[in-house]
Amino acid sequence: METYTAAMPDKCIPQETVLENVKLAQAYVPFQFLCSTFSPESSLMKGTIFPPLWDNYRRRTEGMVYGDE
Amino acid sequence: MEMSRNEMLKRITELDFFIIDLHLYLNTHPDDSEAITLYNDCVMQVKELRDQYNMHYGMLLANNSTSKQPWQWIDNPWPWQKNYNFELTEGNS
Amino acid sequence: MWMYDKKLEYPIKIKNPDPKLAKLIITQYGGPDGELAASIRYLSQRFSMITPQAKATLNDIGTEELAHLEMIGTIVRQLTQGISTKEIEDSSFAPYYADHDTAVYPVSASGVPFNASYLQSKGDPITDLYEDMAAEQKARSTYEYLIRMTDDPDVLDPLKFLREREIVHFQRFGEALRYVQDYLEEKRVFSIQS
Repeated sequence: METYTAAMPDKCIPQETVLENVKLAQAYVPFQFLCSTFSPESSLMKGTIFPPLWDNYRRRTEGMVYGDE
Repeated sequence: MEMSRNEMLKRITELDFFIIDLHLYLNTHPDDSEAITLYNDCVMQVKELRDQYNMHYGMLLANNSTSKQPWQWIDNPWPWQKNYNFELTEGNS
Repeated sequence: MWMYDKKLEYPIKIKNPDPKLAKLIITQYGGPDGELAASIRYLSQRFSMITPQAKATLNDIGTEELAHLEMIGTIVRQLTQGISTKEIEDSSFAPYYADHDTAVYPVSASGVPFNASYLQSKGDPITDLYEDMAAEQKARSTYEYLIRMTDDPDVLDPLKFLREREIVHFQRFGEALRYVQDYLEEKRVFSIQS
């Protein structure tokens, strides 16, 4: 039931793409918008209900510790 | 309700989390009416589940659940104990 | 005010004790970028915050961080149960064990007790929100470091959940900042005109 999908999913852009009147010496985070959600079961495992905010983290395991020289 | 205690707690945990993430979204999107409708639907659903849990398995919300005799609130296990928790069918790590 | 909901935000059921890992994970309980610092920071800053959207964001993310604090305490506790004292004494957990047995006490991974200098509540709403965004990034990085230090899925799953929450919180603080920026800009423009 709760897997939400917007009325016109193909036209729904889940975030602001253009920022206007931006000023110097300020940082701006674009707004996210609701287009669809994961199911509650999937959301809990992923850590968010919003697909565009989900960062599917793959852990980095072995490897040498090198700086960036 | 045919659900076991673990199954019911799993459903409540999932719905509660859905509600939490949606709630934080609504704090910065107060005019999103679709989101408010979805939120209200989820809240109604989880209230029903919580009432069922309260009736069969015990108290969840302090001061908002009823108790049988004797006072159930203190019952083991508490949430930080292993046997309080259910298995979330996990995928790859 | 706060009510207690007798369940965890995310289930924690650890089958294999690991005191060495507990010593590291405790840093998200009492360490500089951990959940206690986050809760107190946001719940303190909310008193001087402006705009209803930003106040609600601080209030509610601060509250969620308390739930995360509970999860970390649970992980640390479960990692040190069901194990012989010899194994604990032979692990890097031993110094902590000498002071605390297997109790949960707010320290960092290197044993520094929690202190309020890990957080700031500056009063300037712009300053405070940038602090909060930085805090979420620091927490995210810390979870990434902890994630690479274990293979146990029972621990990895809640850590990955908590990491994702930091990303979502960052987005919300960023949105709250937009409201505060707009509000202050509007006030500035208005007062220039009058």
